[in-house]
Amino acid sequence: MLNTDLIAQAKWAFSARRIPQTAAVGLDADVASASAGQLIIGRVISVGQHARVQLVCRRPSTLYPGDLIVMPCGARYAPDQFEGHAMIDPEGCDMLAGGGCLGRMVWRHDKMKPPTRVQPLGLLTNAAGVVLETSSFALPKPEVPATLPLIIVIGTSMNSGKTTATVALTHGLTRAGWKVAALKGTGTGSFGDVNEYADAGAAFVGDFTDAGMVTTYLEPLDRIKSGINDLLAAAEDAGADVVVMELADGIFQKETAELLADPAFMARVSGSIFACGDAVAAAGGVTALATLSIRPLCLTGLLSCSPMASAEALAVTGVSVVGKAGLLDPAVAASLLAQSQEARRVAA
Amino acid sequence: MFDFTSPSRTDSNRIAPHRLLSKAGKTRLSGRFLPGAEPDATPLIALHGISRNARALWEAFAPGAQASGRAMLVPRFDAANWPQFQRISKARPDLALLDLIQHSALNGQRLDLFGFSGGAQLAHRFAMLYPHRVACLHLAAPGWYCLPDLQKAWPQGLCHAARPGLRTFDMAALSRSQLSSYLALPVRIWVGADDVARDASLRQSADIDATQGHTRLDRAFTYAKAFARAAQTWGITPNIEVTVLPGCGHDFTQCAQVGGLAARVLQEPNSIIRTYTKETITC
Repeated sequence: MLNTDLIAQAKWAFSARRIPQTAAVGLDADVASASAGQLIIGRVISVGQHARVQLVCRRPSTLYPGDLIVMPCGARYAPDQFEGHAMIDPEGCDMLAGGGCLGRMVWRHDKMKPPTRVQPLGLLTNAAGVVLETSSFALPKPEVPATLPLIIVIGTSMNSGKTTATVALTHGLTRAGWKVAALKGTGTGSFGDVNEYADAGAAFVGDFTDAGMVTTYLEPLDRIKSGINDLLAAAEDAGADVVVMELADGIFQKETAELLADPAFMARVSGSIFACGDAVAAAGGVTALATLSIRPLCLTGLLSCSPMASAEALAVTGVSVVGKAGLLDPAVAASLLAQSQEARRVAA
Repeated sequence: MFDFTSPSRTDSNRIAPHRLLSKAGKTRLSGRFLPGAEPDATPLIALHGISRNARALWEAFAPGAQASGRAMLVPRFDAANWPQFQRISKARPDLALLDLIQHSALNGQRLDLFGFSGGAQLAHRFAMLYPHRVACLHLAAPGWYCLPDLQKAWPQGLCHAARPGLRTFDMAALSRSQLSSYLALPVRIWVGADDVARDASLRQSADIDATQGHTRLDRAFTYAKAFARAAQTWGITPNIEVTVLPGCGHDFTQCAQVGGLAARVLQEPNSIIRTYTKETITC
């Protein structure tokens, strides 16, 4: 049996928040067999890029060598940080994300330090000896699919302005009187985004970790789509009128690209907003999306900070540019929702 | 925003309001608020005209609203902060109104929206931006209208008067995007039979006179016809009625006392049609 003092001492990561700590009563030493979502207890060997871990209680905790941590095994895709796989080396593994994700780093961005290293102590198990994993504590599967309007926020890359746009549109629609669910459909589990969604006044907040995934990288498309359906149903059950959902990274990222190319998923989408940094990126993105028969409701992101870049993008793409202030405006936000519903009605 | 007074006195004739204040933006908006007793009763917002006599609206509507358990909100746009509260442009009375609605815990509900004169101008412009917030739109004697006409230049219609800048608040474009939802709203227009004076408070120009008519009475019918025509273009069955109030000019108190305006507005739209068939003109 597991020494419960160990669990009490351990820093339990945000990405494992749906798993109750009381469920962890045993330890399986076969860490080499770990797969994505399985819960690992480990000890920090050295502090690298991620000097803090995001806790279940939604505050960051500074890490020190020797700290006990509990995190799921998972893969990571973050062009500005790391790529990593859901593989655990018994001699030591890598902390791939601050929200809690242990695996093996494959690549890192030039500006990144080496990852924080962790000595895995074992896989946490329940009373029956079954390894705890995030998928076992996910939202329930809906009997009937949700039907509420869905606006997706996509972009050229990390840090193109997607979260800012998601938050601003959520706030604008909320101020216009809608009950908004703000979701993150793909990416890596982190409380930063969902906290911002909640701060914007979202009536319901969730991400793929609520659907049982640590990250969506290398997850099968059907599982990601199923997770999104679970989140939409939970949002509808919570009384939301409309969903704003951010898809991580750029439109060429594997899972995001697969979703955008999936007719069944896109049939569920009412409209999209595209975040990008400049007019050339806008032109490239709009052209790439057009090959998938997607025309964004508007362009946003860092591009919108520059009136000149915005004018260039509008001239080249014909798609209007709406900045953060515009998305925060309830009249503009309500108009974007109306445009998305009208486009969907026409398409139907 | 905060509730700075609670009801302190009531008597048989007066219903003391909760006083609300919105200061979310650069400007403030105050309001009188009556909490609703019936959760299923549609709340009412009543907007005053350029005389800014919110008290008259309160006194006319509050007894009926209280009797039917309806929540009611009567904002007051003061002259210092809102010299042109009828218009939504650089000044944004819509935002202040949304904040006041949120403060009165009416967010998420559809509301009956009433406006008299300048208040009716704001009411229909607000409804064109936020049709999802409105259950029934009551327009009493506005001096002129924004027509649901895609060919007519803004602000008389919804066509651009000029190419807007990238960061300009484009009311015409935003209203166009909501037009089908707006045209699906039930709209009740109220106007006094004697509201035919061309006084200083009536917006007058050759273009408006030619397009909308010479008096508020004429313009009410012009608007109703334009609304019905636009709705039909969209495949929507128009639900718009004009009711002429006998013995009433351009005076809210007179419309309320002689024409029974407040009592009529507080009835359900279907009841209005049923009760006042003879005075109701369908377009």
